[in-house]
Amino acid sequence: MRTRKTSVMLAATALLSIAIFLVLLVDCEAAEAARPALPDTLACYEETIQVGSEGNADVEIRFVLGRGGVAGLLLPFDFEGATDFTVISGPAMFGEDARGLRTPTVQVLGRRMLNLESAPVAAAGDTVRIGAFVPGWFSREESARPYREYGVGRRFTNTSSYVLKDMRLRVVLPEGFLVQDVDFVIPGYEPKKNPNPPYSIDRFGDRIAMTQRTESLAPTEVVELSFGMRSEKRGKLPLYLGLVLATLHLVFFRDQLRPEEKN
Amino acid sequence: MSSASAQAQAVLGRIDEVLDLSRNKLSQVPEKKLTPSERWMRYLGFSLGILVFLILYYMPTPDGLTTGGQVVIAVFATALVWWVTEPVPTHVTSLMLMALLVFLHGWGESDVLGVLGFSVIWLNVLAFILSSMLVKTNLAKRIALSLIVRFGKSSKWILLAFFCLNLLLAAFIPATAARAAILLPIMIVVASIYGASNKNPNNFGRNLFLQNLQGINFCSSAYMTGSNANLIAVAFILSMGGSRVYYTDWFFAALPVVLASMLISWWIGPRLVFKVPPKEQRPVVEGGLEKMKEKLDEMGPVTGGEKKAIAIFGLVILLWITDKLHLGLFGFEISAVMAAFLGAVIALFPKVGLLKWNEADIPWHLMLFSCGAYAGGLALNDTGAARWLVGTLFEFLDIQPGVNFWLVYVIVIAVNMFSHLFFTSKTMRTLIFIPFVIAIAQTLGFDPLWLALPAAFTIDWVIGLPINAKPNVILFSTGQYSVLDNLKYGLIMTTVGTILLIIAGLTWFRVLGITPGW
Repeated sequence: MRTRKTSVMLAATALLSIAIFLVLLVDCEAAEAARPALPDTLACYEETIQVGSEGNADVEIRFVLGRGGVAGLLLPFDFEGATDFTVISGPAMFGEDARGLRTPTVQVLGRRMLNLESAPVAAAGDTVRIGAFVPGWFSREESARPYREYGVGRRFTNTSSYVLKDMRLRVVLPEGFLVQDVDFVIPGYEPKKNPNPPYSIDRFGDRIAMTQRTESLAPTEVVELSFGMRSEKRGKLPLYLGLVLATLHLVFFRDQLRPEEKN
Repeated sequence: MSSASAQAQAVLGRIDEVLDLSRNKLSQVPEKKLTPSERWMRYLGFSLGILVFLILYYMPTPDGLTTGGQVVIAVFATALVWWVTEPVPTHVTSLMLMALLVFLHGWGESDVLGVLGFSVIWLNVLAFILSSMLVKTNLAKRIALSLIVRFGKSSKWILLAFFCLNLLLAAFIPATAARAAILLPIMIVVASIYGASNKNPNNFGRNLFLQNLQGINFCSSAYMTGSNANLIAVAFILSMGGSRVYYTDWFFAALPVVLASMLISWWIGPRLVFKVPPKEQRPVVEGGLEKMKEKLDEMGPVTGGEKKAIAIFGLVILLWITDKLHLGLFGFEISAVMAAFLGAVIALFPKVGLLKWNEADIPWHLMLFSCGAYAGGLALNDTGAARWLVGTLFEFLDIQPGVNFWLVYVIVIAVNMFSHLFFTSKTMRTLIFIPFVIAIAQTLGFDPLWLALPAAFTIDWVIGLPINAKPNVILFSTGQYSVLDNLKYGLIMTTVGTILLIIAGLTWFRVLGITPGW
């Protein structure tokens, strides 16, 4: 049973790889003329996950249509239990299923994908923003670490057939939380080869966001970031202890000002 | 005999006592006599350090910085205050730093504890073993006496001889700690002859050790191969800036700056920074230079033990010098630390070697001090705090396109030079600063070489504090100068170096085509 399942998965992966290969192979002007509806790239692809204090997340996917412009789009979307899909802005709508119903996500070769269609008026350079709500994306109990910190991670695999240009993966922390440390990022950070770290910690409105940037993400490639976060409130123990020690030292160590006795 | 001359005679030690280095053990922490200002600094330094910590720890976390990075900055800044003011011994400050990094989760426990196993710590330990071997066999004494007999008419010529020795060694041995290990025992003997010991430090000793510290460090900047950090800078200039820098380009540009720095330091040190009184300008032993000559003659021909020490140390030095050939010769590379390992094993080997374990004078308190300094420095790097600090600094300076090149040049040189005070690794500083400098040059429309190569010449100027480089820690172990002495002379020479590089940029570098021509 297991072998059969593996075989099916292998076959599916092989089919997907062939499809990706073909898409990449025909990346030329002639192919554009033959299949004008298929974009080869999506510029400025950005996935933003805004984590709420209860662990629910608002996910927004923003992208700019590439050279192909108008097309039916299947985009990576692996959030379990996502609801409230909306096209926030841009010339796009959710695709139809076989029964003619609008379905935001579809299963393709066992992977959950965002099912979109560009509006007929869409053109290269148009920006599309899609929103969704993901309940329970982050669990404090499951991600709790020592020092009252929490581990947060997001792994994004480009399961689409497009090259995602200027890819940004952003996790916006719950209000009142800060990034404690960065565990790791994929692609890795090698200062001797590229001195600029591929991630940044910046503001997203009033909240702190951790963003991973990649120039270009080809099909099947992965970006990942993993970091720790903690509440911005600091314990008062070091403050009181520090003040007491500093004061005690000034009071009880005045003899340090006296010259040492001569031997 | 008049009372004055009797008093003068009393300060002169018997030569055997002066040359008895067992009285000058590095592993013992000497009690220091403090000046009134040092006593005030010690008294206020503790509370000041805590205040600095509380401000940095409780201020709102700035954008772009992790909370871990903020903790590291707060702890490191406190340690810097305590290292300079010394309210507690420097090694205790290091232990405090390491403990706080873990307790406040600035850096991981295993990372902090792992620093003791770093190659830099091993190299220090092994350097002290090899140094003990030179002391025990009297080879250090012989070399020191020879130097003094040849140059010792006045202390100033001894100081110049050491500078020249440093410039020569830097051409062959890139590892600065290795150079410090070679010179350390000779310096201790010479200092002793001029009346300086860890129990009774004097201004000649301060000049001798601090000028050697400077020589060991900034002589590396005369050669592209003078340190690994230089090579990393050259690689960045090529990969990011698009300019290839050859060995001779580097050498002809940097050598005059190094020579001028050496001579200025040699001149101002004993005259202005730590004024050497006339009594410290000559050997403080009965009979003076004549007695030294006698003593050297008394030592007779080189003994078997000394020959063995020469062979062991010679092997280590040979391995240090030929590091680039190892791969071809052996199929693998013997690092500086493994070469020292080999020497230490032979030196300690029963019957074959020269040293018993109890005779190895290893200042473990210095190793702990080093560990703290490295833990702090590495934590700054690992948490991204160092990069954030440098980025914020350049952002603060707000250098905009259209600005005069020479203004940018002065800022870049000064910032790069003085930044060494806050770093414990040249490599780390290079990895952070040089790409920034290249990026600034590109943004402003300048050739990156114009700024990056002069900035690279500042990399080896790590002379301000004992924590800034490996040889600094080794020399600090002698107890011949305080952190404050190091900082004082270091800041003066860093300023001199900055001015020299600015002058060179306006003149010599223009001739060589490194900075924009007339």
